[in-house]
Amino acid sequence: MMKIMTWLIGPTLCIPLLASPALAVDQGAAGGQADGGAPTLGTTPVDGEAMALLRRMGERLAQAKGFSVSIRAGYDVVQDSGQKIEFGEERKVLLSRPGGLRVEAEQSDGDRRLIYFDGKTLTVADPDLKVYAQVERTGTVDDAVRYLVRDLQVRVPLALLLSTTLPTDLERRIQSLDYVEQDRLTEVPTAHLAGRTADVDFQLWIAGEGEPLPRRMVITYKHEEGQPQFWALFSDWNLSPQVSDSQFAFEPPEGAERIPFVVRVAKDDVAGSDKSEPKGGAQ
Amino acid sequence: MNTRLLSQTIAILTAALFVVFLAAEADARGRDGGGRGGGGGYSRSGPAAGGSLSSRGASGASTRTASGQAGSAQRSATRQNLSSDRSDTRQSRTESRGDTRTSGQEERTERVGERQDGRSERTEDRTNAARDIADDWDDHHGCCWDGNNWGYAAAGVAVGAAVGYAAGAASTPDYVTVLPCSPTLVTVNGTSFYRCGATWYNRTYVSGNLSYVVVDAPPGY
Repeated sequence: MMKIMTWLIGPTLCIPLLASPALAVDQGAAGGQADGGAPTLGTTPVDGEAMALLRRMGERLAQAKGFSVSIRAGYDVVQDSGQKIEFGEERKVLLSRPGGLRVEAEQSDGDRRLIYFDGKTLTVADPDLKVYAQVERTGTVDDAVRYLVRDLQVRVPLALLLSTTLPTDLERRIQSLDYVEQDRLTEVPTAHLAGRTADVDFQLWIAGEGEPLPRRMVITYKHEEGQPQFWALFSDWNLSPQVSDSQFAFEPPEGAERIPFVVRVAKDDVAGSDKSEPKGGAQ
Repeated sequence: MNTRLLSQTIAILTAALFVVFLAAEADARGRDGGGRGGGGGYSRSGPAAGGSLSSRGASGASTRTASGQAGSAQRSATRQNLSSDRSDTRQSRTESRGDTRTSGQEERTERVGERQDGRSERTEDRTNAARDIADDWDDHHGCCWDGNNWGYAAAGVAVGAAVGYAAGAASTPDYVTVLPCSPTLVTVNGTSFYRCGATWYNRTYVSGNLSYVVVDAPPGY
């Protein structure tokens, strides 16, 4: 019995001892990789071919007079349990520079959300709930999108793609970029690129034929718990859509109620900034 | 000699089984404990929902101070476990799962640290968060920063007459995204008021989401 105990305890104690030299070696290797995981500009490769392609895409979208596209997207939400649940949505985007934007979104649970901008008025509406909110906002689509995301805190996934600053925004953020392969399983052959920024890792599939437009995108939020991903499939790209002003002006449906936007702001900002005029709505 | 080898083999196998059992049990316990966090429905909002090419996280403005090195140390620990000896897989997988959780948090800390470094390198005087966000303007950072130094304000210049909250409510509104009752609906001048007991609500977009904000009772109620 004693002998069995000895044999039982012996190897149990030995397992960590045996394993530790291997662990030590791995740790060294992993340490090197960990450094590579948070690359700094100049030390990590930016593949020239990949960067040129990304630039072409960015410039094509930024310089377009307008475009329309359908975006089917999904994103992980890491629940408190640690379980990852994916939700989906579909967006139809119509953009006409300088001052026209319409986004019609439908969530996987059926909820619909509309965003209208005509250069003067910005509207967010939930048509099924018969509510909408409007603010005066004279400016370009760039201004409107920034205001939506930053000030009104309205979800506009892939907002970057709607902005004329896309090429510079990409350039500034990218720390590494690589050409993975030519993907032949996409609708048209695409160039599969993989890039990293300080905050996210991303992959882009850019059409290799015709206009250099994105066909697919995956963003990994590498610093967030569970590393959730956002993915998007782009279809029906049109770089010269037929547009009329009426497409960007919101017509409130019968019985719809106008409600205000309220945003959470730093108390220091409450006095003095343009978003801090609770009585400003009265006209 | 043979007998000794045999008993040694049996002992090692027994020990290995024991380790596997412990790992499996820890695994089961971990899942059990975490599972209850979910509550009723599944949450559909999180960092990936924003679909932005930057990620400041909902708690971006919090005050985490641990050093960045802790983050990389934790990450190495994770890798080390993942790539350790095959015969040890079950155990290391459980360990690494635990480590990953921790390292996730640590990494977030690290990121804050990195950003602070970057900021000082850029030598720009960025004293408020609002300006800082300009660099990552596409990030939908949602609500709920840590700390109390936050208030609410009606955004922009509304089109038409002021309604609901903007027409006059508590300066720091309470709000819910789902009403706590089956409300009584009263419409005053085209604005819907929802009553739950003694509390009245207006519909308002709070941080981009349709919400019910606590307001004063409408005139005449």
